[in-house]
Amino acid sequence: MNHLTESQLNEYLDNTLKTPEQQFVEKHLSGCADCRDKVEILRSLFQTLDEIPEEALHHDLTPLVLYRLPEQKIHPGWRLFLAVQTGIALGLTILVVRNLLPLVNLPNIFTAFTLQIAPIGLPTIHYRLPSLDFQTSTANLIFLAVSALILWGVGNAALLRGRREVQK
Amino acid sequence: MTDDRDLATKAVRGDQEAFGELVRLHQTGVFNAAYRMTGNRQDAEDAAQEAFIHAYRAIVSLDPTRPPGPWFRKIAVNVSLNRLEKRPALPLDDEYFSTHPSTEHGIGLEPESQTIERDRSREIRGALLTLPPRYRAVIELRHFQDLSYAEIAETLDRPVSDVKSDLFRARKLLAEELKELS
Repeated sequence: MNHLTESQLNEYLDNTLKTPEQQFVEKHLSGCADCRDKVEILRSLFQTLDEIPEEALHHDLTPLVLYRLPEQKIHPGWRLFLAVQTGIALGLTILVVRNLLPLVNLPNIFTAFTLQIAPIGLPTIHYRLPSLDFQTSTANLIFLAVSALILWGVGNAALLRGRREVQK
Repeated sequence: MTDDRDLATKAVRGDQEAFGELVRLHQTGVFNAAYRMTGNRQDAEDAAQEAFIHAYRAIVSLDPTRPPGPWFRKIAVNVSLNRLEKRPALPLDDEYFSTHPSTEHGIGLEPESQTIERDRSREIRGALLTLPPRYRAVIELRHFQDLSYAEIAETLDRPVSDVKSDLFRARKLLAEELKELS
């Protein structure tokens, strides 16, 4: 007589056999004391494992876990806001550069820091500040600077609000 | 009281406070899964913390419509298994072999009964720890976390056939170990 395999015995107790095989195993067990013994040993093991009690934790792990958590993820809403802010800031920068560049006398800047050696005597160094011919009204520049400052402030406030303190 | 799933939904959205509440609620179960795997209280506490940190990093994969407890405990088993496979296990706690007084199980029994129960619990835990870690993991997931073969295979990222083979082998070894002890 062929006995049941380990797999059949285990799967029978785990209730994972399909109906025909389940019926086959049950039929076999009814006539085979050896296999019934093996099933009983396994069933007893299952009950034994159920007897292991839960152990209590001696202290709360929550503060330790929260302390070790990676930096808080920024809420998608804030992320969108920051992206918009970055876009505006970039736009303002381009505007500023575009407005300022034509006003700067570049050749003057390059020559301003060159060494000029006197024909006789010790070499002397002449520094000259570059001449910037600001002809546009400064109102535009002030407006741009203030806008950038406000954006920077609001952005940082948003960032701080978007993050929570790790521990209270 | 806020529901487990509400907390899970908030945690998935990045609410660290909600995640902290989930840790508070599930830490005992996670710790016990790690404790049965490692047999060392300090090691189990470290593994439990590590499991929660892994869980936080993978929080977007948590399905808020399902209870988060089993998800945390599966991570704890995997973390414990990795720790045991990377380095030799720490010495088993003396304490591991006794039931802590605050344990719910056993309350209300006579002292003598408690002693017998504690001894029995010690034997079973001891026998469990004689198994190789990967056998311990399948026993933990099948008997304590009540997972199916397929779910265990998914958790451990191994074929179902391997899981079945390890589980049946582990049960056989465990039964023999307990028979020797009795």
